[in-house]
Amino acid sequence: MRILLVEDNEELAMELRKSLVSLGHLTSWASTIEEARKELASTQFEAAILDLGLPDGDGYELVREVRAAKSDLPLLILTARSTVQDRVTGLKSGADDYLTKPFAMEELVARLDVIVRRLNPPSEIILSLNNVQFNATHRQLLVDSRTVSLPVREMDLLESLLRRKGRVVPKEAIEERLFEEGRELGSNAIEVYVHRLRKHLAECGAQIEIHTIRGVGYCLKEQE
Amino acid sequence: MKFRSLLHRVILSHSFMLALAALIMTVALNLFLHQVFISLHAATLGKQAEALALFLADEDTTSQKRLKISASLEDLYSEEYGRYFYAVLDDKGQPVLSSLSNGKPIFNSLNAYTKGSLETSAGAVDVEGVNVPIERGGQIYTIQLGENLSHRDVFFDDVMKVFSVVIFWVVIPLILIVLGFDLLIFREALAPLRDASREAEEISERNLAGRISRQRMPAEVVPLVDAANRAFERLETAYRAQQTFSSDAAHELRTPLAVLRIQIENLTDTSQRAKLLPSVDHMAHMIEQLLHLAEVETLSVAADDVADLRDVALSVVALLAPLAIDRHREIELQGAEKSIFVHGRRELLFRALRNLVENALRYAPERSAVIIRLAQDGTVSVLDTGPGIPDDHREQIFNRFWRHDRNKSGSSGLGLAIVKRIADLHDAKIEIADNLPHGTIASLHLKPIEQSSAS
Ligand SMILES: Nc1ncnc2c1ncn2[C@@H]1O[C@H](COP(=O)(O)OP(=O)(O)OP(=O)(O)O)[C@@H](O)[C@H]1O
Ligand SMILES: [Mg+2]
Repeated sequence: MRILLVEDNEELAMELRKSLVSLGHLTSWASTIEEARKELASTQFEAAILDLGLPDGDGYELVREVRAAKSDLPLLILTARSTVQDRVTGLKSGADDYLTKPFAMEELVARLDVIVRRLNPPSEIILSLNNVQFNATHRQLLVDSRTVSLPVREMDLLESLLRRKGRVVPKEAIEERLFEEGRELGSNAIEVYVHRLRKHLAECGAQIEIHTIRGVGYCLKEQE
Repeated sequence: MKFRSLLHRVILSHSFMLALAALIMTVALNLFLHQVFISLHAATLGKQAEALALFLADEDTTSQKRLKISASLEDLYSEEYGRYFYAVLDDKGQPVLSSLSNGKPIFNSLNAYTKGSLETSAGAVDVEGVNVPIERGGQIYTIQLGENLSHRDVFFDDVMKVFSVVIFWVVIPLILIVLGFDLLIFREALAPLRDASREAEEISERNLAGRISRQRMPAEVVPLVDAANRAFERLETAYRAQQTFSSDAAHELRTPLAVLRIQIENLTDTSQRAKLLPSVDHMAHMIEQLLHLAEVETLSVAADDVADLRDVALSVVALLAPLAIDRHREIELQGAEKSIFVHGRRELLFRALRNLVENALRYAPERSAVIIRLAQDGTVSVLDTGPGIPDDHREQIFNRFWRHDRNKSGSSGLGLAIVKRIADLHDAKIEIADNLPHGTIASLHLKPIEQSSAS
């Protein structure tokens, strides 16, 4: 993917470019707003990473210009500013995400992926974690490349968890996904499905684990 | 002499001055009245003496001229009546005629108006009166006429007495009225000063922009007010400069730290990388906490800010539960079945709770659960089963940079200082208690808001 990196700190820009290039991304570097404008005018990018404090102005200027030109180029703001107010202005400005320095490269790449994918959803949605792969388009589950079949509700449950793997999925969100609205549910309906899903996953050797977060919901993680 | 207040001083000195004026006025009026009385008395008695002279008859004897008073007047001048006394002296000062039985003169002095003391058959009598010279048959005589002023028929002294009482009853209320007005006027004049104190009282590090208003301020005090306001101005500037310095410094450190971090991440030597990254992350965490502390120092909470405690707790769990799982600990949320609206700012409460839960996770033993418990009364508690916080540390833990174990990785000692500041902003109490059988319960008591007014 072609990425525009707008950052005035040369050292940071060089290291960042090195990392991005090693991940297979073509990266152009601009150190001022002016340079960034030229790059944007001459090249078609798939994403841009923007610093806010630039020598010739504020990164938000660029965000506004890009959005004013009716472009939906995914924009990730990378900044040293982290106050509550900064965060609010950052997300309201029209940028897609906001990451503060210092950051982990892994985090940057993950967020970049999310905002790029949001724009061009792939034709087939494949969710995977460890040795589990779920094709959400064809509703097909593979564990260690072997097809596994699950009851519909358990499949839906697994999909909800996989879509937010590593994050907390509230019980209400699962209820909404699994049952039509307004239906009376037993107080432990979800627990029952989670219990069954855990059993099925263990039986087929899936190396993933559903953690219970009591009073909130569940979190799907790789097994250690 | 020291005065407690300006009002005191004014009232006291005014009372003193007014009392003095009243005294002088009374004395002067009395003196004046006395003078008027004397001249009136002298005139009346003078007339009476002249009348008396007309009644003096020449009584021819062979050798000597004799004077004699008309019998019709004798009662008026009798010693029995005791009010008027007369004597007629010749040019050598010898009495030729006297209403006194002992035949003596009335006064020893020959001044036009004078006083004397007489021996009568009814006892000693004080008299005041006149010496009036007359001429009779070529001879100069002096008529002495005295009046006993204490006589019951004399009413002049009664007039004087009544007059004094009237003066007393007019002057004293007048003084009191004037003092009352003084009090009112000064209270009114000092009201802007009281307002000014209130305004000055409200200026604090949380309200730096406050100033004392000059409106209604007496012109004499305006320079003081202006000077005070300029001083506040300078303090505000200095305070803000100091404030922004720490946050600027922290900001400036972030980019170099980002460079350092990514350089380490790009190292090919993985063992070096694993060693260095935690150090950089510790530093980053410290800067983060410094910035948060600097930020909450400048923020305030409006009276109508409302946050849902349940929502805050869910966000904290969403952020920290995955990290807890990685570190083999659990987070459990209790009492979050429905919204709990409290007075507060969501993002600040989020930071406070996040810090409390991070602490609990750091000290909780492996495989244990950290519980976040919400109560309808606006209390949020974080329970862990770690070592607990000893009683004698419970004050210090809120100090900046205070840590029990300075080597504990990833700790900056700022977390609870941030929590404390946020609690103060919300007028909330922080409570540290023991969990049983061991561990800590850290609670934040926020102000609940009635469901109806929160919607
Ligand atoms: N739940 C707890 N159990 C035991 N000790 C605690 C607990 N919470 C705080 N402390 C003690 O109080 C100290 C100060 O806590 P504080 O949150 O202010 O700083 P920190 O956690 O060390 O650093 P930071 O929160 O900035 O990362 C801690 O270092 C620890 O010694
Ligand atoms: Mg802490």
